[in-house]
Amino acid sequence: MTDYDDVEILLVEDSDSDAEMTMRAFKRSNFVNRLYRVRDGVEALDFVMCRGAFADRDANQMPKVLLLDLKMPRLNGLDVLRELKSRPETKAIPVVVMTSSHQDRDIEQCYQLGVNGYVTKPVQFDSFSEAIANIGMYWLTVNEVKR
Amino acid sequence: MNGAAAELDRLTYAVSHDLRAPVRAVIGYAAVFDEDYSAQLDDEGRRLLAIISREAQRTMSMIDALLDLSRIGRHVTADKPLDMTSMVRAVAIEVASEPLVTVDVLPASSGDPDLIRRVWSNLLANAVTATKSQPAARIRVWATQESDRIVYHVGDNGIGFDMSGVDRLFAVFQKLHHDREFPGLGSGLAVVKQIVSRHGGAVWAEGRVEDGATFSFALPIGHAQ
Repeated sequence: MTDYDDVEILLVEDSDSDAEMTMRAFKRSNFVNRLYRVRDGVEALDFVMCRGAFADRDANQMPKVLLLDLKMPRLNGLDVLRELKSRPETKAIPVVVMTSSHQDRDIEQCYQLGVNGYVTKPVQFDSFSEAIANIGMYWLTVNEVKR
Repeated sequence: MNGAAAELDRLTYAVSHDLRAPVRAVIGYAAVFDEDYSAQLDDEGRRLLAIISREAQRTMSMIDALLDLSRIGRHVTADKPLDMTSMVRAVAIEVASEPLVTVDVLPASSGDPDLIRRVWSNLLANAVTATKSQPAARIRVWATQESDRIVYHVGDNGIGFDMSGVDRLFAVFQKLHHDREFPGLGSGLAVVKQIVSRHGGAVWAEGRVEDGATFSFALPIGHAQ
């Protein structure tokens, strides 16, 4: 089994700090779900579509939730979102955008593209953990996914 | 805005926006460090960590203040009739124990209700702070009508300021008082100026050390029409 099998949370985040904080926040809230992190939009699409470095990934296993940063090198979050939501085989994957700062234009664009949630990363670590816990609670435990 | 100002504003916005991520990381790592290692630190270690955390928070607040100013500058202002008397009375209840503030009947104006409300809120909050150590604090709001504009005034009998620094008063992060007298980042009056400018108006202030201050802003008549 590779370390990207049975992934339930796909974290798409270029910042090492934010990625570490996110993983820490999941652990702190006792989520043991498998999380895999990719660093930009190209890697995110490769992962989901089992291409490139992820060519041997099992295409029947889709993450339960994809946490997506917006501002990333190569392919940004909006492009990833547009691509995922335009394909029948990937549009059911819940995508929660997590971004640095609140910008109305981004929020509107994300919802136009079919995002499932939009969260501004809170500044305080306690609030950040809480936001992550809420995301985990909803998308990993409450929300029913297509089997 | 002209070309150079617009470019400067765009730059301010981009820089402040991009600075949030690393500052948030400092705040986050300091919190994590505190959570995991504070038991192993002595008092001095914990004091130093608290300072790192506090200064990072302050940096974030400053960045957010710059972003806020930049947003106001680019905000498309609504142009609605404003019942200034009731607006000011409502704000006065929020920021002060009401008896402290005497509000005259004010001429109506027009503009963006949310933004003009912030103007009043900042001016009244400042007046409250300026008079907090005053045994008989008084704050009064009144207006004067001129041919082409209405001038609104907030006067107090608080700690005042030295007129030699009046130019710095409305500049962002410039303060004429120490934090213990007047806490805050020093962005409130910059916000006031930015909002009033967006409405085609002007702001100014008069004061004397330990002898009160009056802050005034003028809104052109017919701005809404």
